[in-house]
Amino acid sequence: MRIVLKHILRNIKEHKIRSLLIMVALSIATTVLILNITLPDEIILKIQETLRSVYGETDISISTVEPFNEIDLNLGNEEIDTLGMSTIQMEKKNGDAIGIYGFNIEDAKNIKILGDDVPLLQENEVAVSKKIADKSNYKEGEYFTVIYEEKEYKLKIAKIIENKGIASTTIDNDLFIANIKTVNNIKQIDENKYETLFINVKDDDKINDFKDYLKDNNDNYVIERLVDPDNIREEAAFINYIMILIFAMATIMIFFVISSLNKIILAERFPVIGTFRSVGANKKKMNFILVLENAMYGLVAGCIGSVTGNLLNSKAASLFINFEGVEMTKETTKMSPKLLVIGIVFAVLLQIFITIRAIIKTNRKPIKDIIFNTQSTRYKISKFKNIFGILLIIVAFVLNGFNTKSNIVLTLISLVSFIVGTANIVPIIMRGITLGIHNICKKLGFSTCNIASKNIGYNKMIISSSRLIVVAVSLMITIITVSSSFTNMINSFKFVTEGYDIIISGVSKTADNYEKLKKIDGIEEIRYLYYFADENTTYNDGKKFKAFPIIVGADEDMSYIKEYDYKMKDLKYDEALVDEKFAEKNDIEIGDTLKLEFESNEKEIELKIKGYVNSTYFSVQRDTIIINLDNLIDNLTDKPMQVQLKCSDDTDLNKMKDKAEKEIKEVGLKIQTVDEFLQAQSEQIGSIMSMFYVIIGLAIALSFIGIINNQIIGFMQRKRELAVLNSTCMSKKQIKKMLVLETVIANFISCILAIIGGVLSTEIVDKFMQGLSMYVDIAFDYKASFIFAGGVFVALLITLFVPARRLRKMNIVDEIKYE
Amino acid sequence: MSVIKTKSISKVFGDKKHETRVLEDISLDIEKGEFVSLMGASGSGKSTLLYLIGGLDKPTSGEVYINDQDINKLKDKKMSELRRKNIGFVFQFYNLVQNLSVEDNIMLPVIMDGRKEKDYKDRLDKILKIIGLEGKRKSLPSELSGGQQQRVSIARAIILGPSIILADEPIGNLDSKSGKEVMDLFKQINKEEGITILQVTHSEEAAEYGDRIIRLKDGRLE
Ligand SMILES: Nc1ncnc2c1ncn2[C@@H]1O[C@H](COP(=O)(O)OP(=O)(O)O)[C@@H](O)[C@H]1O
Ligand SMILES: [Mg+2]
Repeated sequence: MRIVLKHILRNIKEHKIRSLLIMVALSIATTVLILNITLPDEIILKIQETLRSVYGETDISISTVEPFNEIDLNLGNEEIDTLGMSTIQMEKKNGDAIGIYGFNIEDAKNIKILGDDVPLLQENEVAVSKKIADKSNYKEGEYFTVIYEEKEYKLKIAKIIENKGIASTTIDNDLFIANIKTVNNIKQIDENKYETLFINVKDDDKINDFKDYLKDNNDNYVIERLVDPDNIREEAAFINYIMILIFAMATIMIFFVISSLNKIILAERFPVIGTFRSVGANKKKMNFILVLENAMYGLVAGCIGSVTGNLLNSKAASLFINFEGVEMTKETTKMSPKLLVIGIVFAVLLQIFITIRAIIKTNRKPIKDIIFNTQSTRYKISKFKNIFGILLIIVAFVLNGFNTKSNIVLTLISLVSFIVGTANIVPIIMRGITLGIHNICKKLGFSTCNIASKNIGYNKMIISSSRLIVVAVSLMITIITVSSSFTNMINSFKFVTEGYDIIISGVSKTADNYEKLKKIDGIEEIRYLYYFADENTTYNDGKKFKAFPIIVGADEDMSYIKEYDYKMKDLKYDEALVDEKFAEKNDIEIGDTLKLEFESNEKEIELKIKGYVNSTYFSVQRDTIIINLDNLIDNLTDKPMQVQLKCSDDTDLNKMKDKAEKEIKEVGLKIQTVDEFLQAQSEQIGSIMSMFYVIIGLAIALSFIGIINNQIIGFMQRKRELAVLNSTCMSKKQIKKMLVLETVIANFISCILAIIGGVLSTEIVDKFMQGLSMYVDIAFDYKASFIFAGGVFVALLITLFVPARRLRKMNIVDEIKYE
Repeated sequence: MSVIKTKSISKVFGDKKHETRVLEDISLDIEKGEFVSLMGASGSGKSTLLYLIGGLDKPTSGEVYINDQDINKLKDKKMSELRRKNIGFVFQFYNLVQNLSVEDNIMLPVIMDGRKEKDYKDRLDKILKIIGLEGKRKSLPSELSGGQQQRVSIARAIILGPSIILADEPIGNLDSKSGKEVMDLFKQINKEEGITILQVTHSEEAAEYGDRIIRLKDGRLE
């Protein structure tokens, strides 16, 4: 046993690079696994702790349009601490805006929204955080003048405080802390009132009940729980699904890379295996030794991967969390020994699973073949593999077809079946195509190409590389397609807001309440966007749509929805247009009558379909029904989803936002410039995209490793054949040309196959996205895919240096000589 | 006219510190149509000499002439052309391209010389008949016995009608019956096609097929 272990350790040491590569690949898989397990908890912890660091012990916030007081509220009998806050925006003399948060300082320290070092501020005294003082050069004891509604106030900086609690946040402007009296005075609010009330519920278990109680008993107030673990968990579930997809893809990639690396290791172990066998070790024992060696890789990689996963945990979590102006907590979940064990077991099992077949196959060979290292380079196409591969692909698409509910597990099974199936039929396809090329070259008399194309379909290593390229590149193309579909989605928002400058969303009143905005100087036009959607929309007595429709109300043409045969402005009360894609998906035709039923408001409307539209610029999923606006307002919703403002060219949009806000004074409003609106949309998606790019990067790196290795082993195995060719009929130049042609032709075909694979696997990933309720219309991006595949093809040309260099160094005589 | 001529060639392996003098001052002349057997103990330098003559390696000093052409003055491309057209090599092992069928293996030199395969159809048929493998033309090397494989490599060596065949222990790995068949084939080619043959061999019996035997001992001709 000792000798065996010693042998294994020496093996690992002698083949450092390859052992290292295997361990790197395994570590990556383990890291992704650990991230999968730990990320949801980490995200929850991060959000919780970050919010805690700002809001202290606050559990619930209450706010409304007008300043209020506790006695205006029904706070029940729960044991609570409360803290009122008023805020104000002012201008310094130089025109810079500042913000002041006013509190009862004692209470604020008590609830830990402010740090202990904040002094009891007197009238017109403010405190400012170190961070802001450094940035804007404020000094303790300094006075400065601010203007509010044309009146000047002189404020004194009483103290520069630690970046703690709410003072650690950054808003667009410099933020000061003051006594609430100061703020209320300037704003001319009653001394005992405030704009927001923070509440700390003493018994944490009762927070939700109390929140519900508050909501039930206080109309017209916005009541929010600040840190709601259930809520966060729900949001993290989505991230979890993305991580599962990444995990699946990474594992598949690593499977192919390791199995190709493993072939080299086994090839190099051949003589050793032979020697062991010839001195009496039986096959079982040899299998055991090799499995043990692989388990060792797993062990090391499992440890590294688990630790890396835990280290990256915090960084990965912050990718998904988006806090504006708040410094993220440094807290992170502790690494548990259980995770280490899981990581190691996973890596060991994965490595053994990947290699066991090759090991057993190797040891089944006769000793003589092993000792003389006479491995065949010829790839034998097995009927079983072809049939198995085709079956798997069929299974993938049948499953995908049946998977109407977009079940995540089914989607993953489809994806894996598809990829494994594809990998199995790549050899027969490669052989078919290259034999075709071979015959053409034969006719045309292209001698080198003739031999090269024949070699491709028959050489193990070339086939293995092709398989790797097809699998990796089609996965990458799939990811690119998904990401470019997302980008399309973001771009489409642009069309809906085209020509307008400010977007107001979250409105809770009917349109006539916003007409007063027209009085504001600089606002030229107001437009209302009406639509309604209910997840549980059915039609014609309980039939379900493939995806629920968005019902848009129209009384005029909309530039972002294209009509075909019937004008939107002509729609009568009970008439409707449908998106052509939506119609196609749900078998709806012009002339049909649809009776829509909505669960959320228990309403029913009956519609006659008059024509088709293309609504891709309104919603990429194109599940759109356009109806008469009056019908929508009467029956579905009388409030617009968005109020869009068009401003005159020289308007300062930020100031206009404030003016609009003051004019409307409404709870829960979101007023954004179009740029902010688009930015917010793309930020949401950005974090997911960055994960995707991480996988693309990993996949590229891993495939490169695998392909270069295949080149090396391929050359090693063929050295003698090449030497014979050189001594009998080919010059070195011709051989070089042959090797180059082999790689170029094989890679070219592989890249083309990868594009086809990408088209097909996009179908499956489409389902996956739908499973995440992201009804992005996944449109295969041919241009991007061709560019990417082309890029990969060019990059792979670099790998040609391997045979070129080795050929130059090769001594024919050494290869031919047989002592 | 001598087809093969070496002028006092010597071959030294390794660097100054660890040099092995393998061949010393070898001069020999082989006439057109001769069948010469090169014999000597293992390690005496037979293979080295053969490779020098075939241009697979360069002598440390001296010259090698094939058809009065100093081969060490040729560039890679011309050298390869010379080997393809004038010299047929037969080795003990690893002679055939495993992915190619019997006939594709035989036709390799034709293809690589950029000639039309169909112009060689008749010659291929004739050669397949000579080596007795007409029925196996579509087979892969792995489906043939060692003797059959060796006959295929002889066929490949003669397809372009070379003036010389260089064979390094061509029957060293074969049983005696297959060995005899291969030697008979050499003799037949030598007689019918007039191809000059230089074979390295261990076996006295095989050496007897030749018209002349040259013996090497410790790098020198005896
Ligand atoms: N590349 C080389 N480097 C060093 N020594 C070599 C090399 N090739 C052959 N030799 C030596 O040259 C001698 C003759 O080798 P070889 O021609 O193969 O002998 P033979 O074919 O007669 O058995 C041997 O002693 C061998 O060790
Ligand atoms: Mg020899």
